[in-house]
Amino acid sequence: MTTLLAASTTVWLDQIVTGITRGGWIFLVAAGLTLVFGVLHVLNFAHGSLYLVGAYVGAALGPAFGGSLGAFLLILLIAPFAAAAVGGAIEVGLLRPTYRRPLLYQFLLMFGVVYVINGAVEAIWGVETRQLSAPHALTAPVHIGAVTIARYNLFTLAVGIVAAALVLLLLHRSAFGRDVRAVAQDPEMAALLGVRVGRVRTLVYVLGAWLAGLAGVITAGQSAFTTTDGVTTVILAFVVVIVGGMGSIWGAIVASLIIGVADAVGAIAIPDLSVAIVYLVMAVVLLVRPWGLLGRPVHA
Amino acid sequence: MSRRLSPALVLPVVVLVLALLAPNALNVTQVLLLAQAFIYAAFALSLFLLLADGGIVSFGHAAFLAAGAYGVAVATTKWNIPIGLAFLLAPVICAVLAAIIGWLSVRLTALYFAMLTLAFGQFVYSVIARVGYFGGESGLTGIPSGIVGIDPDRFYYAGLVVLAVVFVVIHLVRRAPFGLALRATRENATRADFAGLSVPRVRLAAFILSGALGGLAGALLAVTNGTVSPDLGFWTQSGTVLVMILIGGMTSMWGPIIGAIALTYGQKYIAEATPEYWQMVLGAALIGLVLFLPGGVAGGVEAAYRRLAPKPHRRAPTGEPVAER
Repeated sequence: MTTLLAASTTVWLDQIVTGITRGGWIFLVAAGLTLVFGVLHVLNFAHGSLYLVGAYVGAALGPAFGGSLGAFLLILLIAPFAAAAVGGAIEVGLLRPTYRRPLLYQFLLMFGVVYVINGAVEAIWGVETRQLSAPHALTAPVHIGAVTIARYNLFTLAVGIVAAALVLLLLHRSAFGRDVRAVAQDPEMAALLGVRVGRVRTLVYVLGAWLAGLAGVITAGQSAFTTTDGVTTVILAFVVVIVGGMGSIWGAIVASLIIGVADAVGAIAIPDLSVAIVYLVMAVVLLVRPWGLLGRPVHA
Repeated sequence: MSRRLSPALVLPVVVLVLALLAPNALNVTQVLLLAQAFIYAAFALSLFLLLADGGIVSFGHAAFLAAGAYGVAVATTKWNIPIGLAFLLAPVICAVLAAIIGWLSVRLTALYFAMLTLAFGQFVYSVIARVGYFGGESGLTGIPSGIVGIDPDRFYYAGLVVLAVVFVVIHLVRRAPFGLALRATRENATRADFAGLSVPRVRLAAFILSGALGGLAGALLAVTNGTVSPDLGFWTQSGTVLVMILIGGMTSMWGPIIGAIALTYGQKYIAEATPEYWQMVLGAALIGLVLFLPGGVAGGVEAAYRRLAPKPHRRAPTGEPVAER
């Protein structure tokens, strides 16, 4: 019994560490959605498609840039701009005229955008799986004490932490961030006080799209992907926003870590229910705090 | 008391007679396509109640299509329940599922509600797609078809019967005091609350009814296809049914029916015309529809009718869900 426990302690520790790094990836996937949801109050289904754009452009740039670490990091910064550009077009062309329209119409507009982007991605790159091979420096396993972990997972976690820090700094320590928070709180009042609401919204959406693209490139370096990955990944991002609460960045950070660890530990503890764990976490949080972990209570 | 024949009564009768005679005039492809369109029309109508009268947008309605279909599939192939009984069991299963999901979701704001129903719908999808008992990605096969058989005409009439049942149930519910209560919660939840209505309870009841009727459509889909696959529950299916309602418009119960038929035909013919670009064409058409024809086809027809026949018009008891922030 003691040997079983001793042996399994390492297994648990392994899973917890894996879960934390997975949390970093989940945060990257959800960061842009959280930001857009919190400021624009739009259900941004296109998030998954923008993620897809980042992944495909990243994979397409791979061969041209070569396999060095520097080239990979450069792709990581450049490819998301394709997603950002598409995002800018969506906000200016489609969202801006419809902010005052009923909720349903925004949903359907976004649904149309998902079809168009996925169709375009399929027309350009086909339906075969693709991958961006990560440089050797990022793929070797790392040993920390008794725990073994893939270096790329640590890298993903590091990128997640940097992204979280930069977004928080931007929101809370810059003049632009003050404008963004004002628009999130009350767009009419912000406009009266001289904030250029339209421009703030566009920039926030573009930033959200860039983050979606970044998550796409990171994932492309991790594993093979296809055109259907966008519509499956976007759901995970939605769950993070629900659990974290109403577009709160800190909420998304906490929710990502909880979901990441629950997912990794649950895969060992209750393998039969592993697909349901993410949603069980969501249901439990909703029972205790219907507005999410760090959200504010708002009732219909 | 003498009454003129009202268009509200004549129209359904004329449409029903035409629909009953239609298979005689159509080829097999058309009959099968319409049979499928009827099932989706019933599915769209089940959501219409929630959307038009309740004013709340559920983005996880596919969960009930899948649960109804899988209910029939599991009951017949795993539990050896006769098909007739299994068919009636499916809406009950869906009602229970809707009670659970609804109980966790109805108290929240419109935006949050949409997101939650989306997430729970996706939960149902991952369970049927991954759990071995439900056949995983390949789904379940060998569902008996019972009296529906494998005859296209019978598929057609079965679809018509289910659509008519859903139509009548929703029509009666909308005319009952409950329909009035539901519209009251849509128009002003605070006032409805002051008037003594329990807003979450009214919404939950509508959600359960909507789920059960959606499950009925799913059950028939399982019977006519003979197989079920997880795709039925994927979230894009929930989006598709909202598209059907939008295409048709929300001004009357004919909207979702027109929309379901239009989209079923549209998808087939766009995919045949441009097999490579159908997604882009469909998406662009949808964007164009939202931007330029917000009332949908039925709304457009109604507007034209009003312009042609300018007489005092009773305001239809429906409206658009109001964005809540």
